[in-house]
Amino acid sequence: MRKLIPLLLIMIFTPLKESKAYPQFIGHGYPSCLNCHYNPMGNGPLTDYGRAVGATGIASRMFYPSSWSEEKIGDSSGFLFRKPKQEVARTQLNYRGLQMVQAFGTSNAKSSWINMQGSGQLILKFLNDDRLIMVGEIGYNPPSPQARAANQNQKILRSREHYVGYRFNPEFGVYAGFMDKAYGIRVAEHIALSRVYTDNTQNDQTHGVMIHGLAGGFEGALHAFFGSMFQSADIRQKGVSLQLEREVNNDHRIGFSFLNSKNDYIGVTSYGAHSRISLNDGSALMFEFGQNHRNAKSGSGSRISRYGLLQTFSKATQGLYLIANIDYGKTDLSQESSVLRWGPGIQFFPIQKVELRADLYNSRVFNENSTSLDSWMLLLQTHIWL
Amino acid sequence: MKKILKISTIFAFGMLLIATNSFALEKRSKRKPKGKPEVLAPYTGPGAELYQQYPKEMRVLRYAVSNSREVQSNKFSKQFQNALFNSYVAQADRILNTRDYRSLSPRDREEAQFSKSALEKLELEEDRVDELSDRVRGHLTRLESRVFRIRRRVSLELISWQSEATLVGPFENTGLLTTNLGFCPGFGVSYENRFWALSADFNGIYGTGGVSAVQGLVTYQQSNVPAFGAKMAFGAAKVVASSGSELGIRGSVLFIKQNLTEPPTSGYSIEQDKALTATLSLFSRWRLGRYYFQTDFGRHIGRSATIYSFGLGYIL
Repeated sequence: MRKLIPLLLIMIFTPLKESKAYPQFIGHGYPSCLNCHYNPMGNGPLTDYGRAVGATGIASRMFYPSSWSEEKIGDSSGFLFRKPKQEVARTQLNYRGLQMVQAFGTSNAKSSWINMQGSGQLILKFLNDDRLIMVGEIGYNPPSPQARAANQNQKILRSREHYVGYRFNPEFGVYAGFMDKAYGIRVAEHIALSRVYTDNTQNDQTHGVMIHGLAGGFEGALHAFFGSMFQSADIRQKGVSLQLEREVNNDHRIGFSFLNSKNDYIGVTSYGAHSRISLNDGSALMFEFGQNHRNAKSGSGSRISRYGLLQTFSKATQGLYLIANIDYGKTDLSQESSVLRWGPGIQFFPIQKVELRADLYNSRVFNENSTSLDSWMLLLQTHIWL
Repeated sequence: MKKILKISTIFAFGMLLIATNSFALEKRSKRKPKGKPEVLAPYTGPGAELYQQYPKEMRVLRYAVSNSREVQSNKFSKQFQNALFNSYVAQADRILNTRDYRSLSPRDREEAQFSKSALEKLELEEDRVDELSDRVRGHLTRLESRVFRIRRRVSLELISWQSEATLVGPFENTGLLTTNLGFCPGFGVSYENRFWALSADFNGIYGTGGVSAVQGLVTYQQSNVPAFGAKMAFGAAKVVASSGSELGIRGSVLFIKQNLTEPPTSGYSIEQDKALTATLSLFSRWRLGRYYFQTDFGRHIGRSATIYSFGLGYIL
């Protein structure tokens, strides 16, 4: 722990310069992702409004002259800090890098830098109130450790998403193309077991059609998909997913998700309940709990997994959030072992377009028949977008 | 390990309960209280004389303010209106010069609020009344936020800890590690204001754990070994949100008794760590109305093992 403190201080005081709209921003009074993202289920490029909120309401003001008004800061939230001069096209660039220290705090500690994300986004907007949008994102695809070890060639660039969306009215829209599946809470941590078990990690986008609606305190999306066309036909997961949330007391959301899909080898069914609770002043508590069933046609590989996620975010001051992250998973209910990954973290937006984050993870395996030492991992993340 | 699944399920329902209950609580708080109306203590502060000098006017204004009715200012004499304004200025002045929130009675605060509302109804000196009332509100909020209160609470947490032991053999010793999981019911007291909180917590602990090790030809394995104990924790925290969420550090003293069975093979024995340990941890409480969610993440002092807990609590 003593070794961690200087690292956290460096993270806090490194003079870098906002923010992605995350689901925990319900604590800022933004229960719906639609306010800040072109994709109504979150993730992907930010709208002009989302960028301005990030610059003025989320990021710290410590590096701005006190003479800068909120409006001036908001005007500088566009691409390359400029106010857009036209209404049709928007571009964004995104980079996310990670310093990962495995076995942190031990003599076997191993540190490595991972370029997790490097992408360019183009958004075309037409009609009044941007009712028709076209979104494309080309991103760097870091080779997997397995591919690297086997010296395999892996495509360096890939489409992260490309879709067309049309909103008939503010309450109802249809989106078609390549995008993330509508399921659960879309937390930023793609290693969260709620995302890993349900096949909703950073490379699990799918081609399909999604309808999104808001009515009577409900918000939800129904997504019919037919797999990634970049994969061979036999492994494409075709199916349907649903995510539905109910607004409770204007501030909180409770919801559930369902997903059913199959390819030539395996059928997958996932379901879960979740809750996003606003604690006011930018603080929030999020919870998700669910199960995943895998039915392999060959028989081997069939299993039922269970996951749980609990995240608390506390706004210490503007731009700085303190995090507690609890991630639970049992890969196979028929087996003894389960894992609980737990850790504190700091998320800091020192200036608009920059996010720094430090997370310490302690992983503990529970198994009545064997014991093992906890493993520790430190993740230092830098996220910049222009 | 089926237990952890049951615990997680209970926990899941707990979280949903918190969200829905807070909704119900807020709804309830918006309802008008039933029963007899509150009887206020006799008022003796600035403006008290108005009740003797202008009983009819004060009655009409009281009715209009409490029932949100409009009044016609031309039906009130200029003399009365000036007296009402002057009494509000005196009430505000008294509040603004107060340094201790408790030196103001609820009646003092209520009377100033009534005077302000009455002046708004009469549309008298609107700008000055607004400016004064903003200052009064801000000052009262600041004073109230500094007041320390005692809160009592009960909680139920899921706790996990690792404990160490040694398998002593005729030729070598082998370290044993027990990973435990259990429940931690308890109660606590906080002395807190809007900025800081000092707390003391007392918990019982019940859990089970498994252990295994191989030494030469001997395999030592035990599962579901029961552990009983108690925890006493003292903490200091910074309140980080208006909802009352806290982040802080605390020191705990734990007494946990867990008896590992001696190996049947002669020449082998078990040496367990002391039952009494101290821990230092980071803790957080996330409040939602009277409910809160709590996390605690720490390490045993002088040992490498980690202990953590999280769970739900209720403020009494």
